Amino acid sequence: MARLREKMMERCERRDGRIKKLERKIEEMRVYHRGDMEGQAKYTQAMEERLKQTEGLLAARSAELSGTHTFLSTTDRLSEVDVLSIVRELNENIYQIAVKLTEEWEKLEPSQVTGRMDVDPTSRPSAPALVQLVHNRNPMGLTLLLQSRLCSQVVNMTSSWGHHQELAALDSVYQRLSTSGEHRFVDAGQCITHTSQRGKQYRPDGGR
Amino acid sequence: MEELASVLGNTGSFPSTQQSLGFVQAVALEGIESIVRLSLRSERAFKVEVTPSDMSLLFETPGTGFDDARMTKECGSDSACTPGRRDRIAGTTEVGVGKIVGGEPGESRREEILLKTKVVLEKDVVEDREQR
Repeated sequence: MARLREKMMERCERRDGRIKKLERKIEEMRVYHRGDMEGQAKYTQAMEERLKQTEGLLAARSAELSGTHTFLSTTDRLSEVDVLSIVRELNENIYQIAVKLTEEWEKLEPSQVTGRMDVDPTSRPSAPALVQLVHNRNPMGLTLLLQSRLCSQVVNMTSSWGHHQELAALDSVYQRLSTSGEHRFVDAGQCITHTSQRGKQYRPDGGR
Repeated sequence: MEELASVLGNTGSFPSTQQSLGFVQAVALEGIESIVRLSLRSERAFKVEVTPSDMSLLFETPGTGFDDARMTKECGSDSACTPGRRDRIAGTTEVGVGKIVGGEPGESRREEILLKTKVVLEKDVVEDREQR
């Protein structure tokens, strides 16, 4: 009976020891889990802060982009109005010169206008019908023909200027924008326009 | 200046190119300077003052077909166009302005007409000549 009791006591002690061991392990796991949770919480907090920063940056960039868009739209719209008024004035000047030349041409004596008519529609952008009208002393025909030739010249002239002479003007404007602080809103425009200029300027044959 | 002189020369208005050049110089020197100045002004606006600069002056070559989307008629031509036939252009009397738009990913670039060119049609010129 005593032996059985000892045996039972031993078993109880072993179990107590095992329970204590398991309790230690549970405590260790609890500490580890607590540390892990704290780490996760810190990571979550850091990510939340980063998200807030990103959102703030995005809002700032969006506002800037919106400002740039508004600036460019406004600039374009205003400039288009300006450009169209310049072109209308240009057309008016072309008409005035054509009319003035025609009026003076009408005053010429018939003996002064005995030249040979040279109609070659392939050599110049003139319509043979208009040339024939002028040869028949039709003033309206001359006005239209002069207008047509002047329009052709203006377009050819301006496209050649675009290749060779305007980059310096562009750079001076960009410099002005930079010093006046407007550059923040026109960076995108500068890139586009400079690229556009380079693209237009590049010619494999060196522009000849 | 030489271009205008050659117009007058080609139409037989003067016996020599030198004479037609002298005529143009005497009559239109100041006006031509004004046109050159305005041309430069418009080109500067295209390249510098409009961002991005995809605008250009438009001119229609004589002999090409009339396109209502890009052009307006100068005079006459109140009559309807002949069905199945595009009226040919005799000359451009006013330059227009075009602007390239689009170019975003998946979007093709196309020309938007801000100011139509004004043209005179061959049929109006012929009709006018016949009337005379």
